[in-house]
Amino acid sequence: MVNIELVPNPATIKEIIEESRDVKSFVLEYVEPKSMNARPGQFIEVSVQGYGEATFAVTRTAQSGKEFTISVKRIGHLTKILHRSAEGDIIGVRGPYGNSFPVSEWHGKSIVIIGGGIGLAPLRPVIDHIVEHRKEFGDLEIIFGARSPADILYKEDLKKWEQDKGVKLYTTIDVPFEGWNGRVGLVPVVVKDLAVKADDKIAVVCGPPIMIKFTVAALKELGWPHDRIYTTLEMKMQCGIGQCGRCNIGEKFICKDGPVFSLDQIPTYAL
Amino acid sequence: MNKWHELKAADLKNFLSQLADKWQVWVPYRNDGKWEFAPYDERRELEFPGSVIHVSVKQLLFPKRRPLATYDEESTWSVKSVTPGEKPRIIMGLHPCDVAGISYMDKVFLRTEHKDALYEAERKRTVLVGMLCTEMEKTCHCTDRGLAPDSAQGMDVVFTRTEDGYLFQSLSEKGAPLLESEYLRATDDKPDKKEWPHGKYEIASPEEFMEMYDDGIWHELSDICLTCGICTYECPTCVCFLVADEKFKGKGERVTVWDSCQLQSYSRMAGGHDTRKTPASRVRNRTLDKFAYSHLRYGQISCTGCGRCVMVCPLKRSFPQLGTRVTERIRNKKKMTRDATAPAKED
Amino acid sequence: MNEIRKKIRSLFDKGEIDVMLGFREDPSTGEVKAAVFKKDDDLNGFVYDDRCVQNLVNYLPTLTARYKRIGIMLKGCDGRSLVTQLVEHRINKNQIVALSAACDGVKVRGEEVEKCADCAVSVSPIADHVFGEPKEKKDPVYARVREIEKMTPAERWKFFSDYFAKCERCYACRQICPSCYCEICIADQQEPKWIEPSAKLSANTMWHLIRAYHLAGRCADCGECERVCPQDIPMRLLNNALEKAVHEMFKVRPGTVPDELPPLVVLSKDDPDTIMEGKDE
Repeated sequence: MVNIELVPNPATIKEIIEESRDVKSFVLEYVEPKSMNARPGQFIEVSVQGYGEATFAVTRTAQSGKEFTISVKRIGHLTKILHRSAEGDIIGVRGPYGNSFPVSEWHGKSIVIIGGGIGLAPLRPVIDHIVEHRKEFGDLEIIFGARSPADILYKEDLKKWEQDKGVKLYTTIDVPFEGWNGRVGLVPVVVKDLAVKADDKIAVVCGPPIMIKFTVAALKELGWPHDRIYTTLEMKMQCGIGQCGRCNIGEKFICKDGPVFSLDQIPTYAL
Repeated sequence: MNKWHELKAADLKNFLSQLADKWQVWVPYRNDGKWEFAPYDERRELEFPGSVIHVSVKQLLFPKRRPLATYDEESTWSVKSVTPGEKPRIIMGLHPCDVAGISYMDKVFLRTEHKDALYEAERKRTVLVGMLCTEMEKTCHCTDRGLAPDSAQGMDVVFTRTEDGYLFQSLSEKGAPLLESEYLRATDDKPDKKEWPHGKYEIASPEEFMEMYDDGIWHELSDICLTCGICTYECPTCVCFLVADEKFKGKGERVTVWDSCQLQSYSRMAGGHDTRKTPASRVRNRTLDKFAYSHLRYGQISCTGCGRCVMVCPLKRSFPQLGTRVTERIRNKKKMTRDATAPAKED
Repeated sequence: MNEIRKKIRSLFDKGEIDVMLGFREDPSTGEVKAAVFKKDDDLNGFVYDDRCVQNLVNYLPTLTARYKRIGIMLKGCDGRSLVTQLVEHRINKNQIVALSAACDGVKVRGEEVEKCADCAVSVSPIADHVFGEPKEKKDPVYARVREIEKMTPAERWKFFSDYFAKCERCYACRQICPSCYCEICIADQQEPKWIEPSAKLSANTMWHLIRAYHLAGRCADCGECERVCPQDIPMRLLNNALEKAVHEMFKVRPGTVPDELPPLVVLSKDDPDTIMEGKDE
């Protein structure tokens, strides 16, 4: 049987985690024994039989390489169907595709992770990698912004990171909310308030397009150069393999030349 | 020396019937005044047009609607890949612009580790028998795109019309078996070389086009273009597609379907975000893709100068003029900077 | 034609228009195509004859966003189209200066066009400047529709399905139609996916029938949809069939009377009640 790349392989939903009011994480495992060797930043194409496909970043891979997790925000057609699935259901997966965060180039450096909402999902594997190889990196700062307390993701991970002495975590929500005693403010504003120093650090930013735009502007004001700000873009990728044509920014395909880019690699007209 | 073989006009049908024993043979036929490829039918009048064939051959290697896998609605997961085509096939009468289009499709679908297996199978089973053009239509401008109406590049077999028949030459291992027919005789005859006109739609270099990304000219060009997408459907190198799951009476198929960067829905994402909302951005995307991005990605611009976009544009807008108008703006800009930096004349 | 050019020049000079939408001849193909003329352009390039088939009204929504006052050259059927656009509040009349020349029929590739046989108005119903004498109005004949009506349902299905099977879903018919302006076309909607994107007979049939129904009572019969179809699908037949029904029931031909609301949008006491009475039409 010929392997047709655009045809997905079946995977079982092993566990569903309710992360927030409209985000669920799905822990998956291929039906045929196969490992998911996704590097931090890579993505997969997930299908529900008969309902089409959508792109999701792999947000965590088990040590064994067998189980892998995606976080799905309920926005449109396919995500709605996915949210209705149950543990044990079979869905389709193909990938991993794309490039990954060049973590090996960041050895010895301090990293600042800035995530907005569901944008934290593709950044989590970077955090996992740094926490697992703590000695290879400098300081780790995480700035995470959610719209409201009900939209905060990865509560277990946030607790762990808060207690980790090697991590500085700043969580913020957009506008004041009753019962919330923590930081309040949009992520770009918080970045400015914290006056995150550029030094020799690497910044990794992900979130809704408008959040990325203003966060990058804030970083530039603080003196960050383009080649030390990284982001991951997800713009209507469909085939994931550089053939269907739609995800291009200029001559680059987000699915092949990205989705991870440093700002000096993206044509300036993109964001 | 690769010899030419002559075929008398009277023997054409016999030769084709012979080929039809071993291969599926596709030749051009005229339907309502439009030329398009169809399976060889010995009852039909056969004629090879001397220049462009209206319906591009893209459809034969990369169909409008192409099933990848089937599934059964009843079961939770019953996805089965389709079997790629295998029957040996000949497409005869392709022109150099068609073959240039195919070589571009090869780059899109075969160059990476994720080769398109179905397209690869179609290519493997197909022998390209190309024909040298004897004339250029008003809309043809391949000579402005680095091609020539009498270039045999990329063909497995090339043939041309002569006064009393045809001359054939095999150009690849795949093509050689076709010429083992008693109707073909080796000859020392060769087709004449011709001079072809050019300069109808000359354009600037890919690098110069890239510099025009932020120019305001795209708004002006989109004032007229309706981004209907017809040019993309007829163009031999427009192969953008979407992937969809479609079902009918319980049986489903995952298919690829031709899509177009000119259509409103192309870049729209769930949640409404759209990176190419304005017609200007879509016109810019196609123009730059044809004349610049393709060169940066694959080393060749994807426009073949076949002129089909000119033939089908409902507004008679003609896509090549987008290229020439941008080129004009590029030249004007350069002229202005030159004039501005020229040393002042002395009184 | 010179009379028209003079008028355009004077409109530019008086500052009454910023741009003029008209036609220019393409020297390399000899064909006539739509063009936007600016004040400093040489108006000798402006042509207006029976080759000027294209309906320019479709450009008005984008142009009115970029320029304050736009002059536009209209035939009768184009004028009908303009009326429907104004009635649906897509454009403001105070941004338009309408010029209309009495039309005696147009030619596509040298041949007469079928829609001219049922011409409703030879001059735009809305015109600030008219050139030539309007012809007398005739009642429509709908010759092609009546031919199809003579067929049995099975014959009609064969007739149309042969054409729909050729449809590539390029949506040129939709893009060129001034009345097709939904922000998210029903064909592009995902939730629910009303029409499948691929070009197979079932989905193509859905597409053409739905589009015809969405235009019922609004279609100005400019005929552009049929002219631009790369597969020569006679989809205007569907629009004409519905227009014929609208004409018989409401005595209205959309776009022929300025400010007249589309009959299927308005509920009037005089509307035929046959459906409510249980009679079959």
